[in-house]
Amino acid sequence: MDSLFILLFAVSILYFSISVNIKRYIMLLGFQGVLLFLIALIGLDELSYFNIGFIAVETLVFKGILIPVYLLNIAKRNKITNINNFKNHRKMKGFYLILATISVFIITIILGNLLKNDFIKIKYLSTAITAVIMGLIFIVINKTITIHIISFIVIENGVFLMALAVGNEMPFLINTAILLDLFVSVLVLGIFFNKLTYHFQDDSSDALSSLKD
Amino acid sequence: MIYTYYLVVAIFIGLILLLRSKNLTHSAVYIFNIFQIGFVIYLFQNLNGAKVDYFNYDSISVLFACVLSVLSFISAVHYQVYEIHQDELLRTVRIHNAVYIGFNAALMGVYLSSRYGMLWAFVEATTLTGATLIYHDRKAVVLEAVWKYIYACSISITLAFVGILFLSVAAQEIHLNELTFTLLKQNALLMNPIWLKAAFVFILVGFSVKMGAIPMFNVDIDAKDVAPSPISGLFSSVVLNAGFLGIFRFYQAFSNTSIDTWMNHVLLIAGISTLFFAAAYLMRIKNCKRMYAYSSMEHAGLVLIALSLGKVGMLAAFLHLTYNAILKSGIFFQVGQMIRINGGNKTEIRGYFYQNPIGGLILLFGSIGIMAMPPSGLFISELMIFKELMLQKHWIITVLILFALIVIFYVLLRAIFKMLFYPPNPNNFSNIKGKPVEYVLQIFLLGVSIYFGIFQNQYLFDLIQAAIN
Repeated sequence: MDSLFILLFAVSILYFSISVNIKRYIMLLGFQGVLLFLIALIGLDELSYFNIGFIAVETLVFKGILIPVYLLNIAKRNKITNINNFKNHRKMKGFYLILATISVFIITIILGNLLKNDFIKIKYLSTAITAVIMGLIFIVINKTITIHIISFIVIENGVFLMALAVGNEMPFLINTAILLDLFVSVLVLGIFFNKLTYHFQDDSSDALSSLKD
Repeated sequence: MIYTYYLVVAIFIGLILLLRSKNLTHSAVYIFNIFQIGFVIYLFQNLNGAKVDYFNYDSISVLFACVLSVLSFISAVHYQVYEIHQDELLRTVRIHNAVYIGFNAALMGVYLSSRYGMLWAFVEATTLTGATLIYHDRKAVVLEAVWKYIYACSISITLAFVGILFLSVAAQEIHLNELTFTLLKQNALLMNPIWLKAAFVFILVGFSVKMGAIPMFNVDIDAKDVAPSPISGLFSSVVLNAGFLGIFRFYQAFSNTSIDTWMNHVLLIAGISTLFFAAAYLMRIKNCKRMYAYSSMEHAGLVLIALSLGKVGMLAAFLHLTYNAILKSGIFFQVGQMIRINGGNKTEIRGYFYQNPIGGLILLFGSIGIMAMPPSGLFISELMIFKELMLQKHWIITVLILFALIVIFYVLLRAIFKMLFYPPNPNNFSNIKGKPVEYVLQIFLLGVSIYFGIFQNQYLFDLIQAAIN
C-alpha cells in the first residue's frame, strides 16, 4: 500500500514541473501533506500514540490544511495568482524540467539500490532525495518569492520522507524534522513573507537586490 | 545546573517582556549576563563532569561558552548606547532584549550539546533569534537581508539535517541508536564510509552559513551589514564559533577513520575557496561593515584550512577562533561608534582619526590585529598554520594562501587608512561623542588580544589540547 502513496508522491513532484498555476502548486502541497501522513502511518512500525498524534498534527493539519490555506490567502491578498507572471519568471521550459525530474528520479533509484541495506527503505529514500533536489532546482530556476517558499516546502517534505526512510529506529529524528517544519511555517511563512509582500509589492526576487558591496 | 540555566533564561525573557521601562530591560539583560558568567565559572569547575543526558561540558564547549558570556555582556552595553542614540521605542528594545537572551541560550545550547540532533535544533534556534535581532531597525533593506538570511539559513540547516539523517543510517547499520559525539567516536571505525562522506558534505554545506564560509556566505555578509553593530560583532565571533563547532564535532568523531584524508581535502578546498572569495569581494568593497564582515570570512577560511592539518592545525584553529572572536567583536563595536559619529554613513567615511582620536586608534590597532600582525594573538595562530602547512610540504597551497592574505592585507590597509587619515568630509562631521564605557570595553578586548599575542597562555593551550586529545 505504501508503494502506491510513494508513487503518488513522486507523481506530485513531476506535476510540479509542468504546472504554472499558483493554486495548483498550493493544492499539490496539501496533497503531499496528506500523502506524508498516510506513508508515516503505514511505514512506521513501532509508533506510540503520542508520536502518531504528533505526526498527524504535523502532516494533516499543518502540511495538509493550514499551510496551503495560509499560502492561498497570501497569494490572493497580494494578487499573485497570474499564470503569465509565473511563466515569465521561470528560466527553464516545462519540458526540460520534466526531463530533469525524470533523470533525477532514475539517478536516485540507481544510487538507492547501490546503497541498499536493511535499515533504509529505498523507495522512500529515492523519492525523498528527488524531492530535495527538485526543490533546489525549482528555487534556482524561478524568480518569484512565492515559488521559492513553495519549493522550500517541497524540500521539507522530501526531508520528512527521508526521515521516514531511515527513522524506524529513531523516532527522535522524525520529531526533529517536525520541529523544523513548525519553525519554518511559523516564522518564514508567517511573519517575514507577509512583511515582504507588504514592503516590496512585487513577487519577483529581482525586487530584493538593494544589498550590494 | 544546565536546566536551571534554561529556567533562568525563560524567567528573564518573560520578565523583560513585562517590564515597562527601557532601563529596566537593560538592567535585566546585565543581570542575566552576570548570571551567565557565573554559569560559565560553574562549567569550568565541572569540566568534563556533566551528568546530564543531552549536554556535555568538554573544554571546547566551555571555552566557547566563556567567550560568549564575556562578549554578550560587552555587546549588551554597546546596544544600550546604540538604542539611546537611535531613540528606539520601548517595544523595540523590549523585544530585542528578550530575544537577545534567547539568542544567548541558543548559542550556549550549540556549544554544550552532546548529540547531533540537539546541536542541530539549537543552531536552528540561533537562526530564528538571530533573524529577530538583525531585524532591529525595521527598514526595507533590513527586511531584505533578514528574508535572505532566514531563507538561506533554513535551506542550509535542512541540508545539515539531511547529513544527520545519513549519519543515522551509518549508525543504524552498526545498531547504534543514539547520535552522541562520544558514541560516534567510539564506533567510528565500524561505520560505512560512504554514508559518512555523504553526511560530512551535507553537514559542511549546512553549517557553512553560520561560519560565513563557502558556499553559503552571502547572507551572512548581508546580515552583518544591516544588523546593529553590537549584533554584527556577535555574528562575527560567537555565531562563527557555533558554525565551526557543528563541523568540528563531526570531523573529530571520524578523524581516525578511513575518510580522514578525504575530509582534510574537502576542508582544504572549502577553506582556500573561502579565502579567495573573501579576497575577491574585498577588492571592490566600499561599505566599512561589509569590509569587516568579509574579513571574518577570511578568518573562517583560515580556520577550515587549519582544521584540515591534523592536531596541530586543530589547536591553531581553536586559538584563531578565540582570538578572532575577541578582536573582531571589538572592531564591530568600534565601527558602530564610527558610523554613529558619521551620521549613519557606512561608505564614505574619511578622517575618522581627526574626529575621534581614541576611536581611531582602537580601530587602527584592532584592524592591524585582524591582519594578524604582531602583537595580535592571531599572529600566533596564523604562524602555527603556516608552520604546519610547510611541515606537511603543502608548498603550492602555502603560496596560494599567502597570495590571498597579501591581497586582503593590502585592500584592508588601504581602506582603513582612507577611513582614518584622509581629509575628512565636512558634511559628515557631527558633535556626537563616544561614551567612555564603550572605549574602556573596546580597549579591554584589544588588550586581551595583545596579551594573548605576547604571553602565550598555557591554560588556554592545555584546555584546547585536552579537547583535541
